Amino acid sequence: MSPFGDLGRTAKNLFAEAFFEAVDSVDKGLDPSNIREAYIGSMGFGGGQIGNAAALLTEHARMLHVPTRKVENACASSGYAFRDAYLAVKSGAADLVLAGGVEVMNDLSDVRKRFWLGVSGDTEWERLAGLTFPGVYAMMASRHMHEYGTTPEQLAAVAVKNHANGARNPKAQFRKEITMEKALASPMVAHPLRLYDCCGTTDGAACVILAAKEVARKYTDTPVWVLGSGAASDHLAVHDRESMTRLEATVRAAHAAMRGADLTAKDVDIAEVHDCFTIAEILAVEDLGFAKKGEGGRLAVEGTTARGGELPVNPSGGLKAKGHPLGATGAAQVYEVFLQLRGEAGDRQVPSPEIGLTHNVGGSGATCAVHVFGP
Amino acid sequence: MAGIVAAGFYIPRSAITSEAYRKAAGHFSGDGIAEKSVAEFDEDEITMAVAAGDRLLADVNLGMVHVLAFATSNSVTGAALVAEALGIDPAKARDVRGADAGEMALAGAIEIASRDEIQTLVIAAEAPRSDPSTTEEDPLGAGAVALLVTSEGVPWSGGPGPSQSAIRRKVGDVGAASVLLSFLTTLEPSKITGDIDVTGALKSREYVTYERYLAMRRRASPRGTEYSQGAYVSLPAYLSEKKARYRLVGEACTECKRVHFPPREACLGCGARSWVDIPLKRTGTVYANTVIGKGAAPSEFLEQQLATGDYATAVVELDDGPRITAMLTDVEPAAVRIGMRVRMVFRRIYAQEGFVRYGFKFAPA
Repeated sequence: MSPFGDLGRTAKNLFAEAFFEAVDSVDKGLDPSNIREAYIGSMGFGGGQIGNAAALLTEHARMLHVPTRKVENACASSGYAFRDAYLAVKSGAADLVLAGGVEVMNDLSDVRKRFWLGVSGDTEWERLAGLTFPGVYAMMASRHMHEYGTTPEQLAAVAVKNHANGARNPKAQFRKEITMEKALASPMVAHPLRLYDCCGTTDGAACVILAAKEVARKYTDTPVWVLGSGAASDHLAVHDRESMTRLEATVRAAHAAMRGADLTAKDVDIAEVHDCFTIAEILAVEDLGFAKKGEGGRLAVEGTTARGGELPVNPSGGLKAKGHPLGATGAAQVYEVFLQLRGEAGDRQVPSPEIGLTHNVGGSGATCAVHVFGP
Repeated sequence: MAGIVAAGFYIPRSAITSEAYRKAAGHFSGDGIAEKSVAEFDEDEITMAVAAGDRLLADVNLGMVHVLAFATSNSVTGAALVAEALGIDPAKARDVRGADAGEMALAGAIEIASRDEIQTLVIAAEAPRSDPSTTEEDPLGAGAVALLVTSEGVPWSGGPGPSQSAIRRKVGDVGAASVLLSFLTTLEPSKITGDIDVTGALKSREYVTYERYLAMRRRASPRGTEYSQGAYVSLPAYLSEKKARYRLVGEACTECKRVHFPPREACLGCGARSWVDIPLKRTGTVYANTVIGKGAAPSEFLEQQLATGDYATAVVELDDGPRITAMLTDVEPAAVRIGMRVRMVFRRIYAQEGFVRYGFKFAPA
């Protein structure tokens, strides 16, 4: 994984850094020419290379001639790239596959950036009602508060927790702890969401290499296994969904992933969930089955999801503090769980987790990919 | 005798006093004008004409309208759009322009009614388009009048001139709508279908400061948002759903009768792909809401936000069932609550590539 942040670097440069780190990290060595397929998540980094972006990225990572393609599902692009890579291995078509993602957004002018923000909601109806994603998630938050009494303090507690984790992650965009007071005093972006309820605009890249069961031990003695993969979609616009306080795509993707792994939510030791906004983490912990519907707001407040809690959520800092380079986020979640399960997460290491989960959402929940990992 | 059988009018909810205007602007040249009505940022001649027309048509069968005449003194071509927003065939619409466009349209309507029994919906609307820093702007108000003319109605006497009108004192100069608005106040309510109590409507207005007045006055062209470099809805794509956008017309599945709004390609209930138009009730309830602050507005709405500040957007649950996301207007954004009753209004949404996109918003019911 490249550093995440406002970096002044190009997409191919960030992607190459993530890719070569992945290759170099393989214990017994890996020749990139053995990679059979490449799946690259990206929104299109601000229009920089909309067509054939994957070829540009793999070419500059010196993977000339590999079958490559861009996978685009908004913020869930590389969650889906990872799933596609997993399915390629699982099908027996390829025994060594790359899943990655990249985004660069900070090089855009202000007006151009505003045309790229919110492109993954329903453009014809939600956007033309004046919304980008803060507004869409704000309405979901307003509804969650209305139905379940969720409070601004509970939202802020998610931000405080994730910033505390991000402070220990050398690759995070925001490496500063924040206080509840600071979060609650930050400017309102889209009522009831304040600045610290929202993730930033991030550049970055992440890569993961998947190997078939038969060949994995050629590369390492300590592989992390994909135990389950689930994905689902939903109405693009939130107004078309039956509920605005439940992401049906998350519920269904999680169900499929858990069934594949033959596990339940109780078995999960660590989770990287899609917290593009603080309300999104609250929805996620409910929809993934870690809390009852309506009670997700309590988890961060009570410390359950803190790094030392019963179920650490977003030990990397999450999208909130680590950063959210749209197309790279899903792969970066897998990167974190990989490190955590191997005990290689440094200052932010959770004590010996066995089962890890990643949860990657596209937009306001139109797409979702969930993966479960273990020994 | 040919004349008026039904009427409707629209005066924006905001007004400014000549005193407040003069104090802040340093000038106010409008003899006999004590206060004038002020259109919202998202209103213009077209939206006000639709509002006046909608009020008239609330009590009148659409089939009574043979011709629509849209009159304004400004260089605005809007008859076809006004017709579509009212559910009238745009082929029946014509524009009448000029300082006395309202009188010309009404006189023409009376002539064809008495000669050929052709029934005309005359709508005159006016909003200032001058430079707000000049004295030319001072007397200009905003408003619209709709009159339905048939071969048997209340004849038009010519009415009091706009300068003598008591209405002018409260509304300001409303150009092509002036004479018709004054005429409206002389009509005997029992002889006319529709609400014609203009004086009554002026009692519950909100008074704005001159600073707010300037914010509500749109400038000619949006800065920097003309050409999208990312999210984009083409004009043909936008207009392909205009019955939904202009009139809140949904679609009912012909097989299982399930109602969808906005339109979709296959019925969510049974999968059928054949539809019948169903105009939805234009009222609903706020289901979820937000106030869009700095940094959260798409580029298309940046100009509006810079001019008039944060705005409210909501998911509205329509009384007929479907939910839809919409901007709210004519409301203090912070005052919006889940459960608030709202009604649809036809407004300007945004401008891009030289075209104004019109559509629905919701206002407090």
